[in-house]
Amino acid sequence: MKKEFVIALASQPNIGKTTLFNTLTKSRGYVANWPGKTVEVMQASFEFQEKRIKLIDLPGIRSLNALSEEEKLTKEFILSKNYDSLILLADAEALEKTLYFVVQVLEITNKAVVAINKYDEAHSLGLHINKEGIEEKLNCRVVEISALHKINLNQLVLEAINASSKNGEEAIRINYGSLEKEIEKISKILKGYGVEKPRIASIKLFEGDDSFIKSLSNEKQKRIKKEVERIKREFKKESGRSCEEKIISERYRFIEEVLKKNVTYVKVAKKEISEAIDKKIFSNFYFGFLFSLIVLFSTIFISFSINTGFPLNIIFRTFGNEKLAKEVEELSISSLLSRFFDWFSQATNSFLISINASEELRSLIIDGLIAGFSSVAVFFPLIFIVNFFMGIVEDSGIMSRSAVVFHRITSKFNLSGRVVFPSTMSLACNVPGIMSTRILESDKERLASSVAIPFIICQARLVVLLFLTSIFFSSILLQAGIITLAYALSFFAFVLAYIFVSRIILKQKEKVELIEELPNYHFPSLRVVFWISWERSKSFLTKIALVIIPASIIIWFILHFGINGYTNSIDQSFGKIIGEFIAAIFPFKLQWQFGLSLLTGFIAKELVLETLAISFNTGNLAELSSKIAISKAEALAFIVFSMLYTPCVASLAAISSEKSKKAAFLSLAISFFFAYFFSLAVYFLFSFLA
Amino acid sequence: MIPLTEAKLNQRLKIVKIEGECGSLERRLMELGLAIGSEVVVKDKSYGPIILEVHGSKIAIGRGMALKIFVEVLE
Repeated sequence: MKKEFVIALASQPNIGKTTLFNTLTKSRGYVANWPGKTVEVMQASFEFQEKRIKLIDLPGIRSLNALSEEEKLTKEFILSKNYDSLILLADAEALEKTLYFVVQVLEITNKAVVAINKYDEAHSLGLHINKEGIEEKLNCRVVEISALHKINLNQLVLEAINASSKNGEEAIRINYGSLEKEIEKISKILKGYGVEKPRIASIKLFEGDDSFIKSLSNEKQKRIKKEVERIKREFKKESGRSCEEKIISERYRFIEEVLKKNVTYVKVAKKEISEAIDKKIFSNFYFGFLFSLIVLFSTIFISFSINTGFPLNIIFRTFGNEKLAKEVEELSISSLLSRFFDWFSQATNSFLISINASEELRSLIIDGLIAGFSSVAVFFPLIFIVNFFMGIVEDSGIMSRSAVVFHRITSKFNLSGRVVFPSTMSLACNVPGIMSTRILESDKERLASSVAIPFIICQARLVVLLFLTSIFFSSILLQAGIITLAYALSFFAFVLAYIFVSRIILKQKEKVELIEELPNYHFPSLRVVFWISWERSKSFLTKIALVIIPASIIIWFILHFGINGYTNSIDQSFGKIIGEFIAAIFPFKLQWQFGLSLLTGFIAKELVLETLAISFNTGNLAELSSKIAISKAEALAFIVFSMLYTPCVASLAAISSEKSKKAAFLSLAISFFFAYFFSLAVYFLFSFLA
Repeated sequence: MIPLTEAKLNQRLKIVKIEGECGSLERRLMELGLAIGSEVVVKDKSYGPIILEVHGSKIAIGRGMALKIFVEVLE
């Protein structure tokens, strides 16, 4: 077999790494599941000049620490020997900042090539680089590229292949000034212990990172760390500076040195456009806030409308255009999907009848399997659309500005401004909302928000909410009031759960502080955003399918089997028994049909409607209303409970694959507790008032 | 030596001191280039956050953080 060159891409986030990956692999990358990792890694293989290349897109990170999951993964990979060479990407428009990461890697290995991206744009705006000069200082090849315009990419891959023949020693050695003596001292000890790359291991120890000495015995590790701590304290006492700060500063001095003689900037014009937008809109809180809200709500509006036609249909209807409103509804993705699955079920049914399949088997295939697939399929458009729009907002540079604006409000609840994005997107569907918590800065924030997000009423629950209010209450005004209160309650529960998780479970004491990079505005590459959203949604869908399909078969069994075996009538099934059991956990009267609908709603919230219709044996609203035998207070309590009680199976799968099984369980427990508490509170309050 | 919050707009400044422990937040700031010896320019502070330019890129930080960063005016 031909040797496969393993080349990995690494850089700081948002500087075109994914664009480069996508261009090099001609959009053939896929999400690789690395065992034990919750971070997504893209991977692809391709032929290049008769060589086989496996390209890995490592998560973008700012620095080689091990603070977040992404940083851990990328660092572990660079320290491993699982690659032939690295492509380190820097951004021509922010060279100093992006070289900070590059330099850190070059301190470890010389099996690397540096790619300066967006070179063409920066050049036309007045940037000149003396490539040879930089190569000499960094002791590795430099290629000026444009990932977007496909410039010099062949040369880049060639240089990456060439770099694989290097020995893997450190490419550069930065002088850390007054800390040098101490670094060398520890380095000598480490060398005596047989640690690989003792110098960088020593530097990292002074930065508070012990991952290079993990191979040593516990006792040795302890001894060394104690010595390092002692030196750090002394250094702080003598110079008034911390070792971490000294090392970071010296790295930046080194970068300045590299660039000083080799880069000339003539006035860069593009920044002025960015600056003008910042000045006109984001320098005023109210303008910035309004603009951010418009962006957010258009995103939600478009996602909703494409998916179900709502609320665009209402707008058309208000303006008297019934025909357009109908078309919007019919052409919405959920309507197309449900028509497809109806047709598919019917076709399957007639086929099964023609081969004399038994009634049980037909029911299993149609009501269990196909229904399960259709529950999975409805998630795809939502996940994809939300991911796509979030990608655009993030890529364009708007997201970080809006986060700064929102921070002013959210910081009052000790939430960072960025939390607004995943939580608002969750109004469409919680699953992509949970997926997008990765835009948050710290692992703690991501965990707290993923656990809390399921409280936000998604589109599927909105449909249930509309249905329930209209069967329980006849006054439109009352209906609207209840819907508004339900949303208010859900946001309240979200904030409460977030604070509970971050303060009490994660023991987060510090105040959230605003630190937000503001990249220049640019028009996002739609092709790349489309591709990455597509791949992510696809890989996610398989994960969800593995949970939803078995779950819907279990539900099928519950609804179609009873004490006397297979049954056609839900009254005879285990469903009724389970429904009665669920209804009994409430201290007030609830019909078994409602209890059962809570069980099926666990699979997908919209199934609450279907279950109620089937178990009450009518799809007609008026008829259904007449069969309801519970009081208004009980109805309200049921509405509250059904809005909050549990994340759907897909959301739980999302939390568990983004964070952990524990986090999913936590979310389940909190939401059940909140739902029970709030529904009882509502029940007693209204019984008392009535 | 003045805290960053008191600096005038569009003036070239040099960071001379960063107060407080080197926790994860301070660390992040430094890695974004706000380290001792770096040159910064305050671009905007019209409401809450302070917008800085450092090493050719823009960063927004809260006032609390900015109070801990001390600068000297260059030129």
